[in-house]
Amino acid sequence: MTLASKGLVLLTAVLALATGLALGLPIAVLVLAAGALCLVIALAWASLEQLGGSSDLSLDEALSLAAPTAAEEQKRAVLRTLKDLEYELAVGKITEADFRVASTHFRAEAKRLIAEADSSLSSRVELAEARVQKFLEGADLPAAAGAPKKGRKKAKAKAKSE
Amino acid sequence: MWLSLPGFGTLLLFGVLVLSAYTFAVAVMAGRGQARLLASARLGAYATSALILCGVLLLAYGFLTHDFRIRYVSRYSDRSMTTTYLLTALWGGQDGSLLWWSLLLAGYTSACVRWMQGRYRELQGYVIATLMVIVAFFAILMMFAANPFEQNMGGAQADGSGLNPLLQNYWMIIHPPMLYMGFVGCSVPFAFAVAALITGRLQNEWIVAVRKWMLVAFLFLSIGNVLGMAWAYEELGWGGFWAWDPVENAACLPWFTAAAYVHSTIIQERRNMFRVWNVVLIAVTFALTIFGTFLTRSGLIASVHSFAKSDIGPYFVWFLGLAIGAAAGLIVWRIPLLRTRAEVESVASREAMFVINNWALLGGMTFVLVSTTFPLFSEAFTGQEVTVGPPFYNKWMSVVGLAIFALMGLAPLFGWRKTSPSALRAAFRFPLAVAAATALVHFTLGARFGVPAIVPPSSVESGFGAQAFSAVSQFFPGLTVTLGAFNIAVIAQEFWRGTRARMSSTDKKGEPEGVLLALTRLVAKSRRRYGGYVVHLGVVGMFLGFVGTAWSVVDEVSLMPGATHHIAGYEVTYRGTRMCPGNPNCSAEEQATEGRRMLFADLDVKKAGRPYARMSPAKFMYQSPPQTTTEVALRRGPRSDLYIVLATADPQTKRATFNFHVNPFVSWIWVGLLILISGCLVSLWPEVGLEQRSAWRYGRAALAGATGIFLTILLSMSVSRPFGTGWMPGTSPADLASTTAESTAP
Repeated sequence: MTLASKGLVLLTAVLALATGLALGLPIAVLVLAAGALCLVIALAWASLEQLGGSSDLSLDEALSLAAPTAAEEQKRAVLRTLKDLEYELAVGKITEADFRVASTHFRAEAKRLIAEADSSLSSRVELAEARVQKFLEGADLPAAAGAPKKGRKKAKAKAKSE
Repeated sequence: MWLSLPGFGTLLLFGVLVLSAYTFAVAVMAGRGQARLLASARLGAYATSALILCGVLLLAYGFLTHDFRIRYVSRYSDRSMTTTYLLTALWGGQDGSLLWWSLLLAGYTSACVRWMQGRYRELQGYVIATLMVIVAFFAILMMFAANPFEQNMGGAQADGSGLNPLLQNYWMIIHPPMLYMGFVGCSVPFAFAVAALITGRLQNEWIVAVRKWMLVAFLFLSIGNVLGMAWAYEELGWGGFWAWDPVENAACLPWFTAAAYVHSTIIQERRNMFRVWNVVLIAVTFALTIFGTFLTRSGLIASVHSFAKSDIGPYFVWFLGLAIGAAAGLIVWRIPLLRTRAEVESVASREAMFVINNWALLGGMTFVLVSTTFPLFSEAFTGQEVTVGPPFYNKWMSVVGLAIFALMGLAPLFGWRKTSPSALRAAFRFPLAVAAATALVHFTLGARFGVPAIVPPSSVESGFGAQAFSAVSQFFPGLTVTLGAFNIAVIAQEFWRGTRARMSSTDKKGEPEGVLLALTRLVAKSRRRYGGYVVHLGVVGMFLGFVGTAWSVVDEVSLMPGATHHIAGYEVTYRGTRMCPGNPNCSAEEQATEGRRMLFADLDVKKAGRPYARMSPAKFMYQSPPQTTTEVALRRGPRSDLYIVLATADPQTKRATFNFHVNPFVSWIWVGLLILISGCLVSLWPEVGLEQRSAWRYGRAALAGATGIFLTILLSMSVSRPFGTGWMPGTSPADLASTTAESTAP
């Protein structure tokens, strides 16, 4: 939801509460209905703007593009299964031999998925780095130009040490 | 030109159809996650939901202002109704309940769209598209067959017809919305299944995530069904809580398949098996919710619950056909992707137990489905409508129920793939010992305490098979108690084994934990597993309530004032009748009652020689609509309920006929539900640690949920004292329940 929509929801709630206290429940319900209708208009308008490409993506929407890939999500599920497996070994529900067979299978699966996730991401990482580089080179930030570079050097050094 | 309220409401319904169609188109175009289109579809879904909310609020306004131009308002309310019942009337009739249904679907849609942000980008478009198809179906239904904003042909009436008195009960405020929440909740897993089948993304992780949504639906289906039992128990006055009425059956059908699904996904997650089966279960569960709604609303099968016969049946049949056809087509198309090579390797394995459990649940569902629809088939093929009654259901469902109950205890004792004999011996030792000890005590001492382990059937049919079944079924009460003890022992053992393993592991790490700390952290780390065990514990409580019916004592007695009757340790003395308002012995609240006359029969009850309660079963005679209801007098207890119904009363001679019921352990059904709810909540609690970024989101959702539940309870409490006295802090629902039922001590 857009920021305007969130503001509208808040405003409607406050107005409904005030009218409810002053004029009674039916009017408060009517105010809520009016607020809901305004929200419909705001959301439908925002949807059409997105469709026509005449507005930027909101921060939330942009963040949602960073959704994990299918391989990433499958990897999480496999790691959870491995955790369960260890629990079952600890409480004696499966034998050591069965644990080894299952654990080997799931570890191999996890490795495959990690490799797949990395390879699917590598091209995007390169693309993102290239775009950041291009942006920084093109940016007219003489005073602050050194700061990000230092920051980047620091981050690189930290990543290396880790 | 200004539109009238009914006209504007109808326009909103058209708006819902248009907006959902737009969102559907954009969502389909978004396909596998095109950012801009997806963002547009998401906003469209929110807008559609807000428009439905606007429609519901407008109808609520119509009820609150007694706008009798609207036919639905004039049919289901009148000027004497309290605000709470005016709002309840929103879902009291067919047309409004469809709008309410749409609102709940809108809520699920918004929650799902929000939840998907940052997840399953490839599926999002098709999930939204599927949900929009369902929304559009309900919009079409309301526009062309059941418009809640339709105007009265003869203009506005002076007053409405009022809400059916049977629905003017606090359980009816909570029960239908809960059941609808369960039914509607099955749409989300279905939408995910369709999206996964279309995109071909059929690995295991999405089905595991969708399990949470199915668990939400399962939770609400459980709450809805049990609250329905509570309503029937208090309001219908026949002494029981489940009569295998077609509408009750329709409500429990998806519960069976949802329960099967939440178990079988675990097998898919662990062994990569049953991928086709799980998708089929999701589709069947959704189809059963549509079928159940069709059964309730078409008037096809006679029921005490169903809405008036209407024209909406064909719409449901078409939609059901579309849903089943689309799901079946997609599954067949994707069979090559869904097939797996894994197999059940041993009968002594958890997956084998889960498979048998699935078949038992599906068997129960199929039995109830066939028996419920049998009158239709018998009429179609033989020309005669043959119905099957509660004894038939009780006979066979007790077998299915016991099988499920036994499997519920057995499954946790097995490991995956195959369990070694030594591991099995170790796992079974304690539960079997507890079960054997319980059986021994029950079979030897049960009869002395009024709960014999062997209860001969009340009637035996002729024929070898029937007699053999009767011979076996007399052991069912003892068997149920034994299995209950077995289940409790298994759950206790699981908690203990887990705690011990954790303590040993933390000891090795040099960070020792005490029992309580280890137990708490164990549950916190494996919420799904231990939440599931808590749910099982709730089911044990419910089974204790169900088996209690085997030991019920029922008596019909005609008494003159001053006469005393003894039943199952209770001594009941009949004092006489009084008509309120009017009688000087009536309380101030009773004197102030409008819209009905109330005939009370007062009884003084002693238990073990000591005064126990003043109970006053009654007959309420409503003016609008003109109808007489039976009001039960009920005194609850953990051991048994005393349940008294006034059958007839002669105002001249004061002679009254009463039905006395002593129902053992019924309260454990409600306790079992509370435990089941807690277990589901433990299982559903999100892993905030893994998703720090979303912690606030969960916090807000929890706050919204808690506020909703609080408001619902407040709403229901406000009518449990029917004369506008309001809710009093410290008054429990149970107290209020007995107050309403008893209504009366002068």
